[in-house]
Amino acid sequence: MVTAFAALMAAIRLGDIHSVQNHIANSRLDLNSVDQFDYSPLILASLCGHYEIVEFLLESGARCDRDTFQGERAVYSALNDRIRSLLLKHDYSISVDRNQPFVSLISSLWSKEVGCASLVGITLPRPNGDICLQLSRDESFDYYAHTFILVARSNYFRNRIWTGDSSLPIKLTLPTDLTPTSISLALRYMYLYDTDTLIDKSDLTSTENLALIFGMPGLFDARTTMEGKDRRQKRAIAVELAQRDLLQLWEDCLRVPLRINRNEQFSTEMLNRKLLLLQPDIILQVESPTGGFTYCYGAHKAVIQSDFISTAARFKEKFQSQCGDKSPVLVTVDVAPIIMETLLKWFYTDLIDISPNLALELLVAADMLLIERLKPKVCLIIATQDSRDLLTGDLGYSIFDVARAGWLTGTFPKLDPFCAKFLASHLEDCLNENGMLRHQFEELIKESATRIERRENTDTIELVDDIRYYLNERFRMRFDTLPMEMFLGLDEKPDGDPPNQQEATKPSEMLRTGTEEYTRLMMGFDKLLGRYSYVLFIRNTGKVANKQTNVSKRDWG
Amino acid sequence: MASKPGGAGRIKIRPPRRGLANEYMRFEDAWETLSEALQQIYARDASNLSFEELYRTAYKMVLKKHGDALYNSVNNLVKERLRRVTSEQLKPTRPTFAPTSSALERRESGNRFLASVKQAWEDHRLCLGMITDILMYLDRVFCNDNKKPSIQVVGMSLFRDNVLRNKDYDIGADLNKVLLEQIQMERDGDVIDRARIRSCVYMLEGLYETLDEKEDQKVYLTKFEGAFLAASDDFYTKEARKLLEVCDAATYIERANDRLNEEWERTQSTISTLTEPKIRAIVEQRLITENIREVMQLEASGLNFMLDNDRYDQLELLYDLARRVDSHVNEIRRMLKDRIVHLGKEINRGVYSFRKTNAGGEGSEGATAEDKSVNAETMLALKWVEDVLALKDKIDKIWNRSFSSDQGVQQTISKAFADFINDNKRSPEYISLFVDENIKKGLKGKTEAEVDSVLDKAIVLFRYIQDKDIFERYYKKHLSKRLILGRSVSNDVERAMISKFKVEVGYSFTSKMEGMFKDMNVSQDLTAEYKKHLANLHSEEPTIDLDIKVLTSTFWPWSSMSGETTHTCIYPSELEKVRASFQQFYLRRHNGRQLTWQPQMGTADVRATFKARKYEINVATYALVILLQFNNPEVDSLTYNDIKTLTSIPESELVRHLQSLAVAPRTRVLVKQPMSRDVKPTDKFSFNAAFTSKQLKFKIGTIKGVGNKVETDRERKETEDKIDESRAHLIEASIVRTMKARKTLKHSDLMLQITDQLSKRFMPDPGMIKKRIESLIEREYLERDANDPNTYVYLVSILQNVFFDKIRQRLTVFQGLIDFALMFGSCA
Repeated sequence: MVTAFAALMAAIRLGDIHSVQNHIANSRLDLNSVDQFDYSPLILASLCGHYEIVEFLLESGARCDRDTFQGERAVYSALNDRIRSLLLKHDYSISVDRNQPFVSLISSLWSKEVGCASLVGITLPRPNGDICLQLSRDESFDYYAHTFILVARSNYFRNRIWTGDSSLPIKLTLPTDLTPTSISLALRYMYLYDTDTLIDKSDLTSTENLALIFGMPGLFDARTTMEGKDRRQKRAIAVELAQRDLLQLWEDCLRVPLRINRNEQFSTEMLNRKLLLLQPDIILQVESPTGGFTYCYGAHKAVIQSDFISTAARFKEKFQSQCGDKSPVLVTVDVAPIIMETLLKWFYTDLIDISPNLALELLVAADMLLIERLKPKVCLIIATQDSRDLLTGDLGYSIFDVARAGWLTGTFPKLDPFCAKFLASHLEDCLNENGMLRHQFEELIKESATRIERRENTDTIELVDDIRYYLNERFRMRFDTLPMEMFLGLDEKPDGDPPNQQEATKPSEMLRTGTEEYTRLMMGFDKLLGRYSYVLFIRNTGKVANKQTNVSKRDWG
Repeated sequence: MASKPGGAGRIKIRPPRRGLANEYMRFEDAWETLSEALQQIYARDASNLSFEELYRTAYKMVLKKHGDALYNSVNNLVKERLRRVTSEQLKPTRPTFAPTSSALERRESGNRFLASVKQAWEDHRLCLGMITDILMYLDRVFCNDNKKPSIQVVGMSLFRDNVLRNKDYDIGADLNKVLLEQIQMERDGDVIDRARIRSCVYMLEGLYETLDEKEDQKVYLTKFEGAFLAASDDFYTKEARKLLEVCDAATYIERANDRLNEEWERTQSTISTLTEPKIRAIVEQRLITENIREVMQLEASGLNFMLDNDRYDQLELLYDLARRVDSHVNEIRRMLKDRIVHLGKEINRGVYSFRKTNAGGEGSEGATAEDKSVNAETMLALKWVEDVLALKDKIDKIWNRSFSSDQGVQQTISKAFADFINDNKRSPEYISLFVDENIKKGLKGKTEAEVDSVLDKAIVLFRYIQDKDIFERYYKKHLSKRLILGRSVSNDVERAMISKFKVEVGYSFTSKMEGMFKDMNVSQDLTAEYKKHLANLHSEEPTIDLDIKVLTSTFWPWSSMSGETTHTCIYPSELEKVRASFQQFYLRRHNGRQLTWQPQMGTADVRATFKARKYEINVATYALVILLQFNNPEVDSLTYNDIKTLTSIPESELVRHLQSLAVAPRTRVLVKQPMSRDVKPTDKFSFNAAFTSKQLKFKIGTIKGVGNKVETDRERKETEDKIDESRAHLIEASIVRTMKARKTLKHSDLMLQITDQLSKRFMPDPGMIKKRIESLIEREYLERDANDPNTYVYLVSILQNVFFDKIRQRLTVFQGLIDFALMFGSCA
């Protein structure tokens, strides 16, 4: 594989389109993988200025998406404008394609070796018509595929596997009238691998056949219903289908966990048959919130994107395999079942389906389980709500929890502005002398200040700065809606025409109340800070105290 | 069994689970759990540990801002552990390096030590891996935020500092020593445990000097490799000396090759591949670069021996070795050249010594002796060429089989051959003779391919010749004789040869030779047409079958064929009639041409009636003229002077022909009185009617044969003069051409240009060029620059035209004036 890829890259460097064509035709190369210099074939061809090869690669399924690093690189390194415009013409995602991560997840499984236990070997029909030539030696399979992908995406395989013997390892032999190309085509389709080319290039009847044989209505539809649509739309439809398939699988087989009593020992036989047939190679255990039960989710290591779970599985397998135990590895995860369910659904379908009141918990879980890619998405969920509940904590968590969670999980660049803005717009409530909020607000500012301590020579408290900024914004927005003359006339006595006076009064009144409100808030805020800095001043000595005095001076200056 | 979590029991408001902020945690408690677990890992008892629990503990510690403490504690724990390992496991196995211990003991103790180091390293790696897994959150979050090196990296550096560079026991130094000792043992032919050494080397490769783990800061590179290279350098310096003392060249190169392979294998199987180029450089330096010359010069077995005895394998090995250190293999090339030149000069010496011995006796023996020596030298010339070709074959075979057809080496070979071939001044003549010989006789019965290969060989030698113009001259001379006398086997072969020359040096070299062929063809047609013409005349005259060859004077090396004298004679009336008739015929067809008859080149078939019977005799044209004088029944006998006046054949020719007619024992058709070898003016000749011969058809040759032989010294002198003259023209032309293009040129530059231009044909002598320049200055084609006497200025306009006019004139004169014809007659 490596050498074939290297040969392809060499041919691209030389601009030898014939060998490029040969390489691509003869081997199952991933046209979107990269070499040791992080060059993808497309980048290289674009950089070297081989227009024909760029064209050919694009036609063969090389992707050039502006929202990916590789895609950007190909466009920017293009040797001339001709190639650049060609690349841009093929760009699917000038508008951001939300499904891209899902596609790369599924298609990366195509060549991924992770989670071999969940693979199924597929045997090609033999030319002499002998169906069961296959012995059980693994390397003699023509193809490997993930059972759950097969089940999810093909009715044919679903029936075969569900009606089949559940003893492991599964192997499948196929009807004799299939050619390697058509099987490869079907598998590629299932894995969303080079889907576009497949849909565009394969001829209608063979696609139709495949769709019938393997029970993939989507593949057939892809051809017939999408006539006349452009590539991007076709692709979007294909991807959506795949996502729907996997969602279906998730709902059908994976979503419902096995519930056992807390002190009961898990064993594979307890799983339901459908799940068992999917050959889960990892069982994720979580405890019920009340503590009485343990929920066991069957899953596949191939899709797990948590470094914690993967490492734990690896760690434990070492000992398991020493004992010759081949059953799925058990990993206990310390999250609520609903969070686990959300995570798994996301692993399989790239869909996050969670109510805002659980979002913060999900964020913390993502941090604990080391799922970096999930964090920004959850942050987005958190930061797009605008409810006074956040203030009261009625959601299950308050704005102060959000800020702390941001600091804790390293997502503060995303969450801090949100918190500051929220606090700025609810500053009145926070400054209320009698409320609990004021105390919490003070505590938060103090915590933010201690964060400064760990950094070098920063003068101000981040949170305070941010709040000031958003406070300004808040009132500036209000002023901006007023007519310009208001500000001009503020100093002079407005003794213009009496008829106008009536109309002018209202905005100026607004301005006055606005200014008053702003001043009041600022003074209240300053007062709070003053008290707080005074407290700090007494408690700490030396450098920190000095720093705080500086802050204070500036703030009041 | 299965149920949906949350479901009915889900409360709407949930506190964050296991609160982030509200759960208190003492560092000591948590650390106790963790450290116990880590101890268990070290005790290889980790299977019961709950990974999730430990991970969570570490996770919480980081959240509770105990990250720093945890980080330091873990590192301390690892450090402690490593120290204990060093003192408890490694120290007891440290080898003693006692000088008294036997090799076996040393090996055993070294092995034990390596094994324990390997064990310690593998334990460390395994445990560190597990610790890193457990502390993954610490690594990812804490180390990342605080820019601290990861647990893995610190763990490696701890191993380096606490095991290899332990304060109390210098394990690192021991390790180096043991490794080097083991390698030394292997070099001495012992068997060692490579895998074990390899794993220790892996260890050194996995450790870095600094925490940022730069590739060039591997402990292997900083601490081990240097020592290894120094030890190797030392070893191979001695090894080379030892080998030189005890081995012959063949063994030396074999051993050197073995050593190179051995070291390469060592880098692949025992130590790091990173060292491969460095150790190779050392071995190459010590075993090859420093000694290869000495080895090649070894008297009894060196390069000369290998060359002489066709030791292809050894030469190949030698070449491969030399190539490693010098891609041009200059050392081999120099010696190879010396050897070839030496062998070539041996061949030359055979010729020289022959000539020397003959030069002594020549004066006294006279003409016949000269003839004899000429015959012998012709044989010698052929032998010389064959010897050279044999040498060439031999060297080529070596070049092909042992030197992998190296282009550079080929150049050297060519240069060596050119050197000694040009060292022999007669080589152009010899080579031309060789071709002549082969075309005349050698090629009969050979296939086309064989013919081709012989000719190719000749071409190879031709390529080496520097003075191609001399060769051209000889070749033309030899060719003309072959053509006129009809000696060449086939025209195809001749033409093939000429086209080969053409490929080598271009059209100008062969144009005249091609002209010669053209003449021959034209002559054939002409003869046929003349015969037709005669038939049309229906003449009653006695028929003389005339075969005529009309040759263009410029194509043929006339002077060397005809000698210095002009040839005329008074033809007997029979011949004169034919001659006049042809001349008339020819001049009618080609008006304005001039035919000059060259009777000395012709032959005639004569049917002569003697008392016994009729014989058919082939004689030269001159001899025919003489014989015809006796054809008159009134003539009984003629004196020498009579004949001379009647025929006016030049005296030297006349003497020669009379000798062959009257003195040569088997062909005495004339009787001479008195009977003696020499011909005197007073001698009387008469027809020998009583002549008998065993053959009905025979030939009366002239004393001086017509075959191509080496030239006598006198002839050579002439040839040289001619060549000098033609060269002078070429040089002048070249000078004028150059100066015309460049206008002014420095003396040295001009010399360079001229030499460069002419070197394709011959190597001009600087003295000669200078003379030509002087001559041109005199004739005002050039002048010296007034300011710089070393610079020449070309004088333009009129003078230049004059020069070319002259040349053109001369050319026209030559072309228009003279066409020669040769006459062959046959009379009854």
